[in-house]
Amino acid sequence: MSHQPFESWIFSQDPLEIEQKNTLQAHLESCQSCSQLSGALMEMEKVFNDSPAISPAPGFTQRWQTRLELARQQRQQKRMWLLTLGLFGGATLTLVALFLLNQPQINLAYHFSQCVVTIARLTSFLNQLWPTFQSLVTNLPILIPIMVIFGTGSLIAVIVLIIAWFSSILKLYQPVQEGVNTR
Amino acid sequence: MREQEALWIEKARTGDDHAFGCLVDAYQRPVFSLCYRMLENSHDAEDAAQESFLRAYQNLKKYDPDRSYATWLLSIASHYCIDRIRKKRLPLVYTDALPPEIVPDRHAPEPEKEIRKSEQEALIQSILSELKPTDRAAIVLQYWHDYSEVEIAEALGLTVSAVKSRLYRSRQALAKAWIKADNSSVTKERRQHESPAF
Repeated sequence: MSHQPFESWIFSQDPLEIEQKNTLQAHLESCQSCSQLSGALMEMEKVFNDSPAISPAPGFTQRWQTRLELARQQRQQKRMWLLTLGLFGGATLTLVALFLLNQPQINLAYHFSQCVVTIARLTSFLNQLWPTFQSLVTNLPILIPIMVIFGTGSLIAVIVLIIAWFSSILKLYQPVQEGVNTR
Repeated sequence: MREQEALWIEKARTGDDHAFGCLVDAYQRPVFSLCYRMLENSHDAEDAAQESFLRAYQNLKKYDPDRSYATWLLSIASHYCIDRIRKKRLPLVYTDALPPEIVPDRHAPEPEKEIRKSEQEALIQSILSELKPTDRAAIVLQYWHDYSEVEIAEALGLTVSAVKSRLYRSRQALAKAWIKADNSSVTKERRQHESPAF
Protein backbone atom coordinates (compact mmCIF):
# COMPACT_ATOMS: atom_id res chain seq x y z
CA MET A 1 0.00 0.00 0.00
CA SER A 2 1.34 3.42 -0.93
CA HIS A 3 1.70 5.87 1.94
CA GLN A 4 2.39 8.83 -0.32
CA PRO A 5 1.60 11.70 -0.20
CA PHE A 6 0.36 11.10 3.35
CA GLU A 7 3.79 10.45 4.85
CA SER A 8 5.07 13.67 3.27
CA TRP A 9 2.14 15.57 4.73
CA ILE A 10 2.80 14.10 8.20
CA PHE A 11 6.48 15.11 8.30
CA SER A 12 6.42 18.31 6.29
CA GLN A 13 6.11 21.51 8.30
CA ASP A 14 4.50 23.45 5.47
CA PRO A 15 0.84 24.27 6.21
CA LEU A 16 -1.69 21.94 4.54
CA GLU A 17 -4.79 22.97 2.60
CA ILE A 18 -8.13 22.14 4.27
CA GLU A 19 -8.81 19.47 1.65
CA GLN A 20 -5.39 17.91 2.26
CA LYS A 21 -6.00 17.94 6.01
CA ASN A 22 -9.31 16.10 5.58
CA THR A 23 -7.80 13.52 3.21
CA LEU A 24 -4.93 12.92 5.64
CA GLN A 25 -7.36 12.54 8.55
CA ALA A 26 -9.39 9.97 6.62
CA HIS A 27 -6.20 8.07 5.68
CA LEU A 28 -4.96 8.05 9.29
CA GLU A 29 -8.22 6.44 10.40
CA SER A 30 -7.74 3.56 7.97
CA CYS A 31 -3.93 3.16 7.87
CA GLN A 32 -2.28 1.80 11.00
CA SER A 33 1.28 2.45 9.80
CA CYS A 34 0.72 6.17 9.07
CA SER A 35 -1.36 6.57 12.20
CA GLN A 36 1.47 5.08 14.28
CA LEU A 37 4.02 7.41 12.65
CA SER A 38 1.84 10.46 13.17
CA GLY A 39 1.17 9.50 16.81
CA ALA A 40 4.87 8.91 17.47
CA LEU A 41 5.79 12.27 15.94
CA MET A 42 3.24 14.12 18.07
CA GLU A 43 4.31 12.31 21.24
CA MET A 44 7.98 12.97 20.50
CA GLU A 45 7.35 16.66 19.81
CA LYS A 46 5.48 16.98 23.08
CA VAL A 47 8.36 15.43 25.01
CA PHE A 48 10.87 17.68 23.19
CA ASN A 49 8.83 20.78 23.93
CA ASP A 50 8.37 19.83 27.59
CA SER A 51 12.06 19.08 28.05
CA PRO A 52 13.78 22.14 29.55
CA ALA A 53 17.05 23.77 28.49
CA ILE A 54 19.90 22.39 30.56
CA SER A 55 22.13 24.67 32.61
CA PRO A 56 25.83 24.13 33.19
CA ALA A 57 27.17 23.55 36.69
CA PRO A 58 27.47 26.78 38.75
CA GLY A 59 30.60 28.87 38.16
CA PHE A 60 30.64 28.51 34.36
CA THR A 61 31.73 32.13 33.76
CA GLN A 62 34.62 31.85 36.25
CA ARG A 63 35.76 28.64 34.59
CA TRP A 64 35.59 30.38 31.22
CA GLN A 65 37.70 33.28 32.51
CA THR A 66 40.32 30.80 33.74
CA ARG A 67 40.32 29.16 30.31
CA LEU A 68 40.70 32.53 28.60
CA GLU A 69 43.69 33.31 30.82
CA LEU A 70 45.23 29.93 29.96
CA ALA A 71 44.66 30.49 26.22
CA ARG A 72 46.33 33.89 26.50
CA GLN A 73 49.35 32.40 28.29
CA GLN A 74 49.67 29.69 25.63
CA ARG A 75 49.48 32.32 22.88
CA GLN A 76 52.11 34.41 24.63
CA GLN A 77 54.35 31.37 25.02
CA LYS A 78 53.97 30.52 21.33
CA ARG A 79 54.86 34.09 20.36
CA MET A 80 57.94 33.98 22.59
CA TRP A 81 59.06 30.71 21.03
CA LEU A 82 58.61 32.10 17.51
CA LEU A 83 60.46 35.27 18.42
CA THR A 84 63.34 33.32 20.00
CA LEU A 85 63.53 31.02 17.01
CA GLY A 86 63.45 33.95 14.57
CA LEU A 87 66.17 35.82 16.46
CA PHE A 88 68.33 32.71 16.76
CA GLY A 89 67.93 31.91 13.05
CA GLY A 90 68.65 35.49 12.05
CA ALA A 91 71.72 35.68 14.28
CA THR A 92 73.07 32.38 12.91
CA LEU A 93 72.60 33.51 9.32
CA THR A 94 74.29 36.85 10.04
CA LEU A 95 77.24 35.11 11.70
CA VAL A 96 77.66 32.69 8.79
CA ALA A 97 77.47 35.55 6.28
CA LEU A 98 80.02 37.60 8.24
CA PHE A 99 82.33 34.60 8.53
CA LEU A 100 82.23 33.94 4.81
CA LEU A 101 82.77 37.59 3.92
CA ASN A 102 85.77 37.83 6.25
CA GLN A 103 87.56 34.81 4.81
CA PRO A 104 89.56 36.02 1.80
CA GLN A 105 90.96 32.54 1.18
CA ILE A 106 87.46 31.16 0.62
CA ASN A 107 86.59 31.60 -3.00
CA LEU A 108 82.81 31.46 -3.24
CA ALA A 109 82.80 31.21 -7.03
CA TYR A 110 85.21 28.27 -6.87
CA HIS A 111 83.05 26.39 -4.26
CA PHE A 112 79.91 27.03 -6.30
CA SER A 113 81.53 25.65 -9.45
CA GLN A 114 82.69 22.59 -7.45
CA CYS A 115 79.06 21.96 -6.37
CA VAL A 116 77.88 22.14 -9.98
CA VAL A 117 80.60 19.72 -11.08
CA THR A 118 79.65 17.22 -8.31
CA ILE A 119 75.97 17.34 -9.30
CA ALA A 120 76.90 16.79 -12.98
CA ARG A 121 79.09 13.78 -12.07
CA LEU A 122 76.32 12.26 -9.94
CA THR A 123 73.82 12.66 -12.80
CA SER A 124 76.15 11.01 -15.32
CA PHE A 125 76.77 8.10 -12.86
CA LEU A 126 73.00 7.56 -12.48
CA ASN A 127 72.63 7.67 -16.26
CA GLN A 128 75.22 4.88 -16.56
CA LEU A 129 73.33 2.80 -13.99
CA TRP A 130 69.97 3.24 -15.75
CA PRO A 131 70.39 0.46 -18.46
CA THR A 132 71.44 -2.04 -15.73
CA PHE A 133 68.36 -1.17 -13.68
CA GLN A 134 66.11 -1.46 -16.77
CA SER A 135 67.46 -4.92 -17.67
CA LEU A 136 67.04 -6.04 -14.03
CA VAL A 137 63.40 -4.98 -14.03
CA THR A 138 62.78 -6.74 -17.37
CA ASN A 139 64.47 -10.01 -16.37
CA LEU A 140 63.44 -10.15 -12.70
CA PRO A 141 60.10 -11.96 -13.27
CA ILE A 142 61.99 -14.68 -15.22
CA LEU A 143 64.77 -15.04 -12.64
CA ILE A 144 62.56 -14.98 -9.53
CA PRO A 145 59.40 -17.12 -9.35
CA ILE A 146 56.14 -15.19 -9.27
CA MET A 147 55.23 -16.67 -5.87
CA VAL A 148 58.33 -15.13 -4.27
CA ILE A 149 57.40 -11.70 -5.62
CA PHE A 150 53.82 -12.16 -4.44
CA GLY A 151 54.96 -13.36 -1.01
CA THR A 152 57.39 -10.45 -0.55
CA GLY A 153 54.71 -8.00 -1.65
CA SER A 154 52.24 -9.45 0.84
CA LEU A 155 54.82 -9.30 3.64
CA ILE A 156 55.55 -5.64 2.89
CA ALA A 157 51.80 -4.90 2.80
CA VAL A 158 51.32 -6.58 6.20
CA ILE A 159 54.23 -4.61 7.70
CA VAL A 160 52.81 -1.34 6.31
CA LEU A 161 49.36 -2.19 7.73
CA ILE A 162 50.83 -2.96 11.17
CA ILE A 163 52.75 0.35 11.17
CA ALA A 164 49.59 2.21 10.05
CA TRP A 165 47.58 0.52 12.79
CA PHE A 166 50.10 1.42 15.50
CA SER A 167 50.36 5.01 14.32
CA SER A 168 46.56 5.36 14.23
CA ILE A 169 46.33 4.05 17.81
CA LEU A 170 49.02 6.52 18.90
CA LYS A 171 47.23 9.35 17.09
CA LEU A 172 43.91 8.39 18.69
CA TYR A 173 45.29 8.79 22.19
CA GLN A 174 46.74 12.21 21.46
CA PRO A 175 44.60 15.25 22.32
CA VAL A 176 42.85 16.75 19.29
CA GLN A 177 44.15 20.19 18.36
CA GLU A 178 41.34 22.28 16.94
CA GLY A 179 41.77 25.42 14.87
CA VAL A 180 39.60 28.49 15.16
CA ASN A 181 36.46 28.07 13.10
CA THR A 182 33.78 30.69 13.00
CA ARG A 183 31.81 29.78 9.93
CA MET B 1 18.14 43.53 27.08
CA ARG B 2 19.03 44.18 23.42
CA GLU B 3 20.50 47.58 24.26
CA GLN B 4 22.40 46.14 27.19
CA GLU B 5 23.70 43.33 24.97
CA ALA B 6 24.82 45.80 22.28
CA LEU B 7 26.64 47.79 24.96
CA TRP B 8 28.43 44.68 26.27
CA ILE B 9 29.45 43.71 22.73
CA GLU B 10 30.77 47.20 22.03
CA LYS B 11 32.76 47.23 25.27
CA ALA B 12 34.04 43.66 24.72
CA ARG B 13 35.25 44.66 21.26
CA THR B 14 37.46 47.29 22.86
CA GLY B 15 39.00 44.60 25.07
CA ASP B 16 36.76 44.79 28.14
CA ASP B 17 36.84 41.25 29.56
CA HIS B 18 34.22 42.03 32.17
CA ALA B 19 31.74 42.99 29.44
CA PHE B 20 32.38 39.72 27.62
CA GLY B 21 31.98 37.92 30.95
CA CYS B 22 28.47 39.42 31.13
CA LEU B 23 27.74 37.99 27.66
CA VAL B 24 28.99 34.57 28.82
CA ASP B 25 26.76 34.84 31.86
CA ALA B 26 23.74 35.75 29.73
CA TYR B 27 24.22 33.03 27.09
CA GLN B 28 25.77 30.15 29.06
CA ARG B 29 22.46 28.29 29.31
CA PRO B 30 21.45 28.22 25.61
CA VAL B 31 25.02 27.45 24.50
CA PHE B 32 25.51 24.69 27.07
CA SER B 33 22.09 23.25 26.34
CA LEU B 34 22.82 23.11 22.60
CA CYS B 35 26.19 21.45 23.24
CA TYR B 36 24.59 18.95 25.63
CA ARG B 37 21.91 17.96 23.11
CA MET B 38 24.58 17.64 20.43
CA LEU B 39 27.28 15.80 22.39
CA GLU B 40 25.16 13.71 24.78
CA ASN B 41 27.14 14.22 27.99
CA SER B 42 27.80 17.12 30.31
CA HIS B 43 31.59 16.72 30.28
CA ASP B 44 31.87 17.24 26.51
CA ALA B 45 29.10 19.87 26.61
CA GLU B 46 31.00 21.95 29.19
CA ASP B 47 34.20 21.78 27.16
CA ALA B 48 32.41 22.61 23.88
CA ALA B 49 30.50 25.51 25.44
CA GLN B 50 33.71 26.96 26.92
CA GLU B 51 35.50 26.58 23.58
CA SER B 52 32.58 28.20 21.71
CA PHE B 53 32.75 31.27 23.96
CA LEU B 54 36.52 31.40 23.52
CA ARG B 55 36.14 31.35 19.73
CA ALA B 56 33.43 34.00 19.93
CA TYR B 57 35.76 36.14 22.04
CA GLN B 58 38.68 35.70 19.64
CA ASN B 59 36.52 36.53 16.63
CA LEU B 60 34.36 39.25 18.10
CA LYS B 61 35.79 41.78 15.62
CA LYS B 62 34.29 39.70 12.78
CA TYR B 63 30.80 39.81 14.30
CA ASP B 64 28.32 41.85 12.28
CA PRO B 65 26.16 43.88 14.72
CA ASP B 66 23.27 43.82 12.24
CA ARG B 67 22.93 40.08 12.84
CA SER B 68 21.56 38.53 16.00
CA TYR B 69 24.33 37.88 18.51
CA ALA B 70 22.55 34.76 19.79
CA THR B 71 22.37 33.29 16.27
CA TRP B 72 26.06 34.07 15.68
CA LEU B 73 27.04 32.47 18.98
CA LEU B 74 24.87 29.38 18.47
CA SER B 75 26.26 29.09 14.95
CA ILE B 76 29.79 28.92 16.38
CA ALA B 77 28.69 26.35 18.98
CA SER B 78 26.80 24.25 16.37
CA HIS B 79 29.74 24.15 13.98
CA TYR B 80 32.14 23.32 16.77
CA CYS B 81 29.92 20.44 17.97
CA ILE B 82 29.43 19.13 14.40
CA ASP B 83 33.21 19.12 13.83
CA ARG B 84 33.78 17.48 17.19
CA ILE B 85 31.29 14.67 16.47
CA ARG B 86 32.92 14.07 13.08
CA LYS B 87 36.40 13.96 14.60
CA LYS B 88 35.39 11.68 17.43
CA ARG B 89 36.35 8.20 16.30
CA LEU B 90 35.56 6.10 19.35
CA PRO B 91 32.72 6.84 21.76
CA LEU B 92 34.03 7.76 25.19
CA VAL B 93 31.99 6.85 28.25
CA TYR B 94 31.98 9.35 31.08
CA THR B 95 30.81 8.62 34.57
CA ASP B 96 28.82 11.86 34.57
CA ALA B 97 26.69 10.90 31.59
CA LEU B 98 23.90 13.13 32.90
CA PRO B 99 24.34 16.66 34.23
CA PRO B 100 23.70 17.15 37.94
CA GLU B 101 20.46 18.99 37.18
CA ILE B 102 18.69 15.95 35.77
CA VAL B 103 20.09 13.16 37.91
CA PRO B 104 17.05 11.69 39.69
CA ASP B 105 16.94 12.69 43.30
CA ARG B 106 15.45 9.82 45.31
CA HIS B 107 14.92 12.13 48.30
CA ALA B 108 12.95 14.62 46.24
CA PRO B 109 9.24 15.05 47.11
CA GLU B 110 8.27 13.20 43.90
CA PRO B 111 11.02 10.65 43.18
CA GLU B 112 8.93 8.82 40.55
CA LYS B 113 8.49 12.02 38.59
CA GLU B 114 12.23 12.66 38.81
CA ILE B 115 13.03 9.15 37.57
CA ARG B 116 10.56 9.49 34.69
CA LYS B 117 12.14 12.82 33.78
CA SER B 118 15.57 11.25 33.78
CA GLU B 119 14.38 8.32 31.65
CA GLN B 120 12.80 10.73 29.22
CA GLU B 121 16.08 12.67 28.94
CA ALA B 122 17.95 9.45 28.22
CA LEU B 123 15.38 8.57 25.56
CA ILE B 124 15.70 12.01 23.92
CA GLN B 125 19.48 11.73 23.80
CA SER B 126 19.35 8.20 22.47
CA ILE B 127 17.05 9.05 19.58
CA LEU B 128 18.91 12.28 18.80
CA SER B 129 22.13 10.30 18.53
CA GLU B 130 20.66 8.45 15.54
CA LEU B 131 20.79 11.64 13.45
CA LYS B 132 23.73 12.96 11.44
CA PRO B 133 25.49 15.89 13.20
CA THR B 134 24.09 18.66 10.98
CA ASP B 135 20.56 17.20 11.09
CA ARG B 136 20.82 16.94 14.87
CA ALA B 137 21.88 20.59 15.08
CA ALA B 138 18.88 21.62 12.94
CA ILE B 139 16.48 19.67 15.17
CA VAL B 140 18.01 21.03 18.40
CA LEU B 141 17.82 24.61 17.11
CA GLN B 142 14.20 24.13 16.11
CA TYR B 143 12.85 22.38 19.19
CA TRP B 144 14.99 23.79 22.00
CA HIS B 145 15.76 27.25 20.67
CA ASP B 146 12.54 27.91 18.72
CA TYR B 147 14.49 28.82 15.60
CA SER B 148 12.66 29.26 12.32
CA GLU B 149 13.89 27.53 9.16
CA VAL B 150 15.45 30.81 8.03
CA GLU B 151 17.31 31.24 11.33
CA ILE B 152 18.51 27.61 11.23
CA ALA B 153 19.76 28.17 7.69
CA GLU B 154 21.63 31.27 8.85
CA ALA B 155 23.13 29.51 11.85
CA LEU B 156 24.23 26.39 9.97
CA GLY B 157 25.23 28.10 6.73
CA LEU B 158 22.67 26.18 4.65
CA THR B 159 19.94 27.19 2.23
CA VAL B 160 16.35 27.28 3.51
CA SER B 161 15.36 24.43 1.19
CA ALA B 162 18.27 22.32 2.48
CA VAL B 163 17.10 22.99 6.05
CA LYS B 164 13.53 22.01 5.10
CA SER B 165 14.64 18.72 3.63
CA ARG B 166 16.97 18.00 6.57
CA LEU B 167 14.19 18.69 9.06
CA TYR B 168 11.76 16.51 7.10
CA ARG B 169 14.23 13.61 6.99
CA SER B 170 15.15 14.03 10.65
CA ARG B 171 11.54 14.15 11.87
CA GLN B 172 10.84 10.98 9.89
CA ALA B 173 13.90 9.21 11.35
CA LEU B 174 13.07 10.41 14.87
CA ALA B 175 9.46 9.20 14.68
CA LYS B 176 10.66 5.76 13.55
CA ALA B 177 13.28 5.68 16.33
CA TRP B 178 10.59 6.73 18.80
CA ILE B 179 8.36 3.81 17.76
CA LYS B 180 11.33 1.43 18.05
CA ALA B 181 12.26 2.76 21.51
CA ASP B 182 8.63 2.58 22.60
CA ASN B 183 8.32 -1.04 21.45
CA SER B 184 11.52 -2.07 23.20
CA SER B 185 10.46 -0.38 26.46
CA VAL B 186 7.08 -2.17 26.29
CA THR B 187 8.85 -5.52 25.77
CA LYS B 188 11.19 -4.75 28.68
CA GLU B 189 8.27 -3.88 30.94
CA ARG B 190 6.42 -7.05 29.95
CA ARG B 191 9.49 -9.14 30.75
CA GLN B 192 9.74 -7.52 34.17
CA HIS B 193 6.14 -8.46 35.00
CA GLU B 194 6.24 -11.93 33.47
CA SER B 195 5.72 -14.89 35.81
CA PRO B 196 8.57 -17.40 35.99
CA ALA B 197 8.46 -20.21 33.41
CA PHE B 198 8.13 -23.01 35.95
